[in-house]
Amino acid sequence: MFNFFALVHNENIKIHARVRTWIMLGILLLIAVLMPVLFHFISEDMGVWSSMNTMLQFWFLPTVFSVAVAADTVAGEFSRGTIKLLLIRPWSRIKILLSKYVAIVLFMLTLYAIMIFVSLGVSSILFENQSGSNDILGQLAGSLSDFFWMSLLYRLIDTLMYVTMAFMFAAIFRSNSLSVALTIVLLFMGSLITLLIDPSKYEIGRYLLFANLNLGQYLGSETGTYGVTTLGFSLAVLAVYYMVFLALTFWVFRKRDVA
Amino acid sequence: METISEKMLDSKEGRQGSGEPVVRFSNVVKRIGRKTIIENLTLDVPAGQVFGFLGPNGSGKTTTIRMMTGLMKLSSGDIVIAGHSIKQSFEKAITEVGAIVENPEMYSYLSGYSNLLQYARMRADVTKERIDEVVKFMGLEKRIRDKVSTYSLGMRQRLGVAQAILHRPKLLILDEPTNGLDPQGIRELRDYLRELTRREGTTVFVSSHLLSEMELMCDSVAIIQAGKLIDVRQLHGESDAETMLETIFDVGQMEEAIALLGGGEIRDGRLVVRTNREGIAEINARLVQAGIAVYGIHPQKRSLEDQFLEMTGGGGIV
Repeated sequence: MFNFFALVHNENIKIHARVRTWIMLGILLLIAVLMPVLFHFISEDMGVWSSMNTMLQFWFLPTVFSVAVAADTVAGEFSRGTIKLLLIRPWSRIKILLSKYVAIVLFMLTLYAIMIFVSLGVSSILFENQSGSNDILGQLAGSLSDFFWMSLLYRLIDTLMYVTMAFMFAAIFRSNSLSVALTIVLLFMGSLITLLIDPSKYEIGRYLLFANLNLGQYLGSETGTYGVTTLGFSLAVLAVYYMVFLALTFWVFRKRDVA
Repeated sequence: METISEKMLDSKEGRQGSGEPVVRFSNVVKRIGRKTIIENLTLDVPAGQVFGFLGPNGSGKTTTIRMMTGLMKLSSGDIVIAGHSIKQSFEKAITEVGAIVENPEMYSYLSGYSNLLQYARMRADVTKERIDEVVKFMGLEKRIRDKVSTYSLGMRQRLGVAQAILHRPKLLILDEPTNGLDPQGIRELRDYLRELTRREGTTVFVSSHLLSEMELMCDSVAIIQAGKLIDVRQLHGESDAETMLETIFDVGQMEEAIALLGGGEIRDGRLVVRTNREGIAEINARLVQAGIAVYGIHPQKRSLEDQFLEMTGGGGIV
């Protein structure tokens, strides 16, 4: 393993050489600047952290963008045929796939960092108070800023799960559009699935991925949205899903023939 | 005495004999579903040659190359490259290999140079100077900073060869490398491959369904049909001396010549005799001694295509 980070560097270059990536970054930057400005005009009584908590509603943007990139780094290589020239190097398939995964996680973190730090900066300029007088969210987690950082952490976990899912679909189906479509559908259908198999009614429901995503549910209630799970339980379930997703991804990628 | 003459001989035979084969296929089988794509392929590729892998479309050439490069798993058997099994020690085996599999697909949104950098970063032994050298060698200097999406097929093919030779591989595998090249490009590639085997001792394994091209390019060919190895033969070897060839003698006095030789036939106003290498010299001597003017001698080499058609019964060639 003479330089694994050279592989990650390669993947970063492939991500950032695309115009598409810069459009995504541009949209994110625009949202991060414009939204606090909008909050400033429509809301009379808002503080920096309530602005930030509202910003987190846009968590789906970095999620969808990194899902798209995650699917493309794997499936795109297959559809373009470049996977062949990539795999005939003195590197195991595991390491090549791992470098892609690392690059995607870095990309995901970059998107979040841009969104959060830019909107935090803009919010600090626009709002005088740290928090508004009638913010109640802060009481749930000590302070409003604590509430924000915890929510952010939980959203990052959610996004990581979706990105890993897209990565898995891409390795299995080798189709960019199918992987993205499946992940996005699940992203929006998740709540519908838990509605049908209500964890509070059916035991099996609480083991569903979607019942345990959105860890922010435990900021409001110790037993979550359905009153039957705990943070520890959900973290354990998510960890199992995560390991299964990754194991399946790597196993399929390693084993299958490249035509 | 023998060693001296071997050194003096600048023939392929001298190099062939030296050492282990670069690639050793042993009982390679590839099954996909119930279909057998490659059936019990056993073959040695000698070092320092341009080795042709010839067969009609769909005969299993690309499948074989995919197995050699680790893109496909073997159903059974093994492929050993430069002493390393592709199954047991893939990374060591592939270190010695440079390849184009099918079309050289590159990242079209990157420049040619960035593409080469991608592959250079994956190895410890490729310097910037080496990249420049290869770029120059492939005649890509003027366009190397342009995006690959603006390249013609021929330029992509060159870039493909460039990425394959970047790390000075012992074995260069080219899958249908002349696809999309114009006659000029094909000729250049041919000269280049010769140069590569001569100067760097690289072994080139090249697949094609174009018979005439292989004949010009290769030292030996293996012929494969429907997943089975049919024949391996040297193209410019000594065996030529033994082969009976039709030879055209352009002579002044046709009837006298036929009477003298007691054989041969007249075709298109010229005398055609079937003989071997020695025979040609002998016939010439007799004709000249008898005072018959010989204006020209043209041995009609049987082309690989003829041999191939003969072997495969003329069927299955696309």
